[in-house]
Amino acid sequence: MPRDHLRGVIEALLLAADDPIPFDRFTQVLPEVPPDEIRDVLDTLQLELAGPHRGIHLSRIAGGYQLRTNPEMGPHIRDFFASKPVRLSRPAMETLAIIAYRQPVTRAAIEDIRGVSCTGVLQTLQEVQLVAVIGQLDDIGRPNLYGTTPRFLEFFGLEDLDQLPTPDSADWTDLITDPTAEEPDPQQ
Amino acid sequence: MADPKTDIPHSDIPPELSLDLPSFRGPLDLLLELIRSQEIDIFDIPISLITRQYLQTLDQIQELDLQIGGEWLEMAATLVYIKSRTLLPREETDEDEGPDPRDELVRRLIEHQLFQWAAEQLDDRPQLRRDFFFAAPRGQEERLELGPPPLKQASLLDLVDALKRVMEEHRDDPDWVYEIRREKLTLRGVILDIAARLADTPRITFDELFDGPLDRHRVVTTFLALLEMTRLNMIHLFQPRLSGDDRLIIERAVIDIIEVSQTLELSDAP
Repeated sequence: MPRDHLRGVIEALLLAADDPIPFDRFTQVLPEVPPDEIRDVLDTLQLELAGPHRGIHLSRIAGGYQLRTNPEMGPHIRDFFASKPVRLSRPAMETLAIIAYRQPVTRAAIEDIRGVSCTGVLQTLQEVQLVAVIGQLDDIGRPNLYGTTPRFLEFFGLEDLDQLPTPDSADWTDLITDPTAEEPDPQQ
Repeated sequence: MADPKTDIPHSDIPPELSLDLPSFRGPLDLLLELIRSQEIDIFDIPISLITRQYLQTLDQIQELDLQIGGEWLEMAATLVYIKSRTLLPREETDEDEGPDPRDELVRRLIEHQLFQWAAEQLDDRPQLRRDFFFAAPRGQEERLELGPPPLKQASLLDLVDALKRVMEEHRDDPDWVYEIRREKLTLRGVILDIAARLADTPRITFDELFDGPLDRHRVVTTFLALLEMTRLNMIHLFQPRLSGDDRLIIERAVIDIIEVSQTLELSDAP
């Protein structure tokens, strides 16, 4: 298949698909094309679309490739839909962070870290489908274990949980010595 | 991006008013606030000072008649315990001093900060439908799936709030105070109006009830009508559960709402 045509096929697939397309799906649909070539086209496409003035970005989200709008254009799209974004409160964000990093985790463990009860916040997070009960701890009372959902990855545009930010040594120093210092802006 | 929530209160506010409650979401947050504001080394916390300040703040909160949860008292007990441990003479038997009684607290404080850091990082990331969107077919699907947002039963307070908003909006209308009574409103009439709207669309917003010409009499009668209809289980009042959206939503609870409202036994004092 000529390269230009392959590129067209991949663009069309990306536009038509509902969910992030895992790399394996491309190779299944295009068995005659060497996987390296598909990877190369995807990488090139991703790079070409990455510009700050492009409206569409190709991102790796939740284990696959997906077209999404450039975050810079977000305000205009919100105006267009006249929609208010889901705003997570600080307590909800902190609870979500604890679950994301420590999953599977019980409510008691979350409350131990936060130092306050989080029943309501947990319910909200479940309602917006960022968090779900993913099992029960094999202990007295069999407490629920909470974890993040695939939607969580989509919501924050993460490819997988390994992409969660981890503090580097500079962040640690800030946390311990001067917590009021501004975080360096992550250039992403 | 400056976060207004972390802004330190202005120094010209009298100290008894400067208690910034929302930022003390829990005892650990208060402790961190005390440590930060005084530039204390987290690994060498002057435990007597911090305990005193912590207890003072608790007193202030209680003076404001605010309820405090058990976790605040638990932390107070922990602080006093650590303080008592540091006051005791150390046993000279071991060559080492043994673990510092503050260690566990320091560990919790750092862990707490770490997750605050992580929460900030997450919040700074582009977020779905706040910053970025997927292509339209999926977008439509998502809107169906997600909107309208989850609802909770609205309380009387929510109803009063919604009413206040309507009053605020119409405060400057010329007819608002010097009302010229063209029509005689009755409770029954307003209930029938609302019922007629709900018969067409099972769910309407509170604001839709007030889209016509408005005076105080109409607002008050509508308010009473909503109370009466709720009491008789003809309607349900809901509000989106997520913050930032305070629309009140009125939902029909009976199918033949017009018939029901026509047969109401009202002690109708107009």
